[in-house]
Amino acid sequence: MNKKLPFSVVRYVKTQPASNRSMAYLCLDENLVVVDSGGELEKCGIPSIENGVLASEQLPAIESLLPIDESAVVLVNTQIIEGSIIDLHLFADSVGQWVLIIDNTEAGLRLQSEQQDRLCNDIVEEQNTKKRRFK
Amino acid sequence: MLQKKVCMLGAFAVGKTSLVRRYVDSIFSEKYTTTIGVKIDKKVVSLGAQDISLLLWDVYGEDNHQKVLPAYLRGMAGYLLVVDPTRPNTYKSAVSLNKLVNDTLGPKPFVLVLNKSDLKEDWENETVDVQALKDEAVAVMETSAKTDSGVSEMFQSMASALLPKNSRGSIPDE
Ligand SMILES: Nc1nc2c(ncn2[C@@H]2O[C@H](COP(=O)(O)OP(=O)(O)O)[C@@H](O)[C@H]2O)c(=O)[nH]1
Ligand SMILES: [Mg+2]
Repeated sequence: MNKKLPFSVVRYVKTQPASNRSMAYLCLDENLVVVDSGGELEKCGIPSIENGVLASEQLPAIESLLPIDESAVVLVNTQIIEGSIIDLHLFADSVGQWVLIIDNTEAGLRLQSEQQDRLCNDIVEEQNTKKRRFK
Repeated sequence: MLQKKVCMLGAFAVGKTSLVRRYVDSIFSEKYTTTIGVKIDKKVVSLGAQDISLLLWDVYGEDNHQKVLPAYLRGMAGYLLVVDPTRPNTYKSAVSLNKLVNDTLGPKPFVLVLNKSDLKEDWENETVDVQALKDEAVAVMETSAKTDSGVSEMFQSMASALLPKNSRGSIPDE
């Protein structure tokens, strides 16, 4: 497994806001078979990835998302492995199809608890409106 | 094996997560835990002779403050459009989410799911015209994630709509 990030990934990351979150990548060929992977896969909650095997057999969630030929697609706050929240970046260049995984567990959990409070309030609000209507 | 991406779409708290948990893990919880972003599960559905693997994308529910991001729909083969008829406003979200799909991907097969059938005495009439939705849906199904009524039938109905036309059989009754 490569520890050093490939040029394609470094170039892409430069277009994104700077952050010190854990990052991992998969590079796939035109048949969506993994040809390279690396970075901090484990910290991103991704099980070990084998070269020469279809990406969708190792990470079923990305099955329908690739190939990509237009501009990059970003799926924020994606949970494909229990307990880990990641941002999934998909892009392509002359080297291959790239899946860049950026850990977002910490901010994701914070967002979850904010959203939880907000939506619980919304439900109470809805119920009160309903009660008033029935009076 | 045939593998298809299916999204759970609907307003917040209609029971999208509960339906997936019931179907995939056979559990139900009264406690409400919101979903952020999207959570992806896999479940193999047997349709008579044919197995099909569904990737269930449990997308966070649309609410007053946030809309579903179209990127989550990428590669989707079909969707479950869930409403909670005890909250008639959730029909409105269903109509707008259906429009989002059509604008983003064009028409895809979907099942219109009326969840919380265990609370049927509290169901109210829809506040928007949903006849078009009912007509477009491959099926309209009543479910309860709580009592497990209609849940597997609903996922099977979705799965069978995703089979290639020539291999589509009738849905087995378990
Ligand atoms: N009575 C009843 N409650 C349900 C049913 N399905 C979900 N709920 C409850 O409705 C709330 C929202 O469910 P959840 O699955 O989180 O909704 P989501 O936001 O659409 O994912 C939770 O408190 C669930 O326990 C159902 O079929 N019957
Ligand atoms: Mg949910």
